[in-house]
Amino acid sequence: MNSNGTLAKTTHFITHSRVWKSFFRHAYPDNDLDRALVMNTNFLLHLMPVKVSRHSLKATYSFGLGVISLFLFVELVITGMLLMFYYIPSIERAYSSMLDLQFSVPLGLLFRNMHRWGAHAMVLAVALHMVRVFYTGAYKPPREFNWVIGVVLLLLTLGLSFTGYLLPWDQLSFWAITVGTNIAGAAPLLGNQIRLFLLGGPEVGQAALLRFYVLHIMVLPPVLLAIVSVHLWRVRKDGGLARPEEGKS
Amino acid sequence: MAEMQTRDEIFPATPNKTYALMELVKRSTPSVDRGPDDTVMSWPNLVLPVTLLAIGTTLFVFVVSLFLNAPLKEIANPDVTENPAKAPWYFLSLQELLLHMDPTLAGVIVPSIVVLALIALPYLDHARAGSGVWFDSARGMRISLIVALGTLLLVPLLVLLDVPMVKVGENLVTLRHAAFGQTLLGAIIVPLAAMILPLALLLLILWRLRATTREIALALFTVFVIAAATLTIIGVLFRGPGMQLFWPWAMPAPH
Amino acid sequence: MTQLPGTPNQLHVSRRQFIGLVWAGALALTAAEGVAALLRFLAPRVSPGAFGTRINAGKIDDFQVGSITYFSAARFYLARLDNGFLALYRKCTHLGCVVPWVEAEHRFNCPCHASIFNKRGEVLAGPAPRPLDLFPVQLENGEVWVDTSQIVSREKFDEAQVTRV
Repeated sequence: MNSNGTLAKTTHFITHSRVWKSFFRHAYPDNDLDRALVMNTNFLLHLMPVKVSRHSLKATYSFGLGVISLFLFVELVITGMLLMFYYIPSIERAYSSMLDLQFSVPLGLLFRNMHRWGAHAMVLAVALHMVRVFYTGAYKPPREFNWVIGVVLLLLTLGLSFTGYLLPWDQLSFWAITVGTNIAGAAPLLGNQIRLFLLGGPEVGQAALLRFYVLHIMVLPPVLLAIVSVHLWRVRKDGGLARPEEGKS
Repeated sequence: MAEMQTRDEIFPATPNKTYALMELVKRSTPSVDRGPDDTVMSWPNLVLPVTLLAIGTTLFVFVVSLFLNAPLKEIANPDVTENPAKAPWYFLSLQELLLHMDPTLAGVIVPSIVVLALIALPYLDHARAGSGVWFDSARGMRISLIVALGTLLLVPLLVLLDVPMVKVGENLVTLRHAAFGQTLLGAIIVPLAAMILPLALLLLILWRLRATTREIALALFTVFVIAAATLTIIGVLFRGPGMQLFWPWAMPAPH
Repeated sequence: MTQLPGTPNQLHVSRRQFIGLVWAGALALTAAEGVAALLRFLAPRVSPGAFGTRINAGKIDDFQVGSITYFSAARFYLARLDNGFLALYRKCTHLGCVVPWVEAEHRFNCPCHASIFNKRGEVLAGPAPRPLDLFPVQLENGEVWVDTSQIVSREKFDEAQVTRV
């Protein structure tokens, strides 16, 4: 602070300005008070506690799979929004908009690839996250309900991936969805009704494409986001990551 | 009396205070009664790894996307069925089940039971002990490993038993089909027995071992995870045209 | 709430509770109406003239005995058997793949799960649980009409299913 260099002066000016102080209600977190303040006063960081148990920080305990799933979802929302600028959910134009993305839109191929592989990675990460939580017994009280929320999130992830699968409108997607929805149609009593409502008709066609599109971009992501928020909130309220009783770690 | 003494030693009751220590309870509370070494400041000990995971995840997907292109086949044609017509990979374990039994059983009943069991799990195994410990104990780990190996052997064996190998008239059909045809027995009872009998045997062994609830949960979940993974791998790598089995390196091109 | 003398204890609902119940009932009813409206709005619709309506397949004499004719837009195969017609829905009864007619082998081969059907739609092999579904066929003034709005599923082939010429 007492250096006379231009850089230090500028830094001092910026970090002591009214605007900066209206953003950040703490000094640089190099002491415990500011380290506590930064966690409490920053909107994104307040999802995390001020202090965290050493046991939960071990990489071989959680493998960071929940965090990875969350960031894959963020990445999918961003690339998904970019793809929406070019994609048209009509059976005449969907496939040609895919070709457009592949061959003429600058970086279109890259963003489609990222969306596709990110989606596969998210299904895998969420599944592995569940396997980790199970084998570490982290579903035990008081975390029972958060495990149930987690099962719902797994199903929602599968639903998001499945509805997105139809959108390219190529042979792969068409027949995968035909086979997939016929599994639902096999249910006794309401099975065929559910299938008809999902597809908007007896076979995969324009109605099905539009329904899957709306579910994929407008219905399921906000629902997933809301439930993920509850999931993270419950992690904090249930006392952070599960850890063994005192003296047993 | 000993407890009373401790309480008064810690926090002597005085008439001029409006608050007092009422009771000492022997139980763990969140962080409060733990030593200061048990926790560390989240900044930077938690913030840094989370940030690195964010960067790493994005970078991983980015690099993969640079080198690997997402598949795009020819435009959808309702008149020409893809051969093989496979569901997305995470549903291939279900699709594999559909090859071997009645669609209602494979597509509805089995997955419903799995989802309901997953939801019910924390209410059935509700002992607090073992929370936050991988595999609960050395014995829990041994049980999981043995069950995993058993499932890894049994599932492909059951799939291979249901391969078309009997000649009936001009067509090659499965043993099950040759013996029972399209009957209730062949489509429901026999596949159901193939799934339930090994599980019943497993539960019997666990019961003889006086396994805890957690150990039974470990065994059953391992069966589910390994069976799902094995069926998915069979569906992705080994099923070719007509959903026949092929070696991955001898897979005929789809037509 | 004070109880009137002589009123039996069971089934006593106070005014406050009663109004509460009426409110709860009204809310539940409104929610149910909302759900019903949503379902009605989202129910699939059939457009006239397409698959799902009654279709003229052509003249009876145009179909040779023993032939299989594919109507792609209407999703069925018209089988001319020795004694009449069968309209077979092209969807496999297992998981709904389109079953192509293989003229050389004289049978339907499902590419998805290897079910095999003969020209009457009967299952020869594979996991398909039932013969191929049918559409009702009517013969009027020498022409063949197929009603694709009705899918008739059957457990096995029966001579009564054939529309006789």
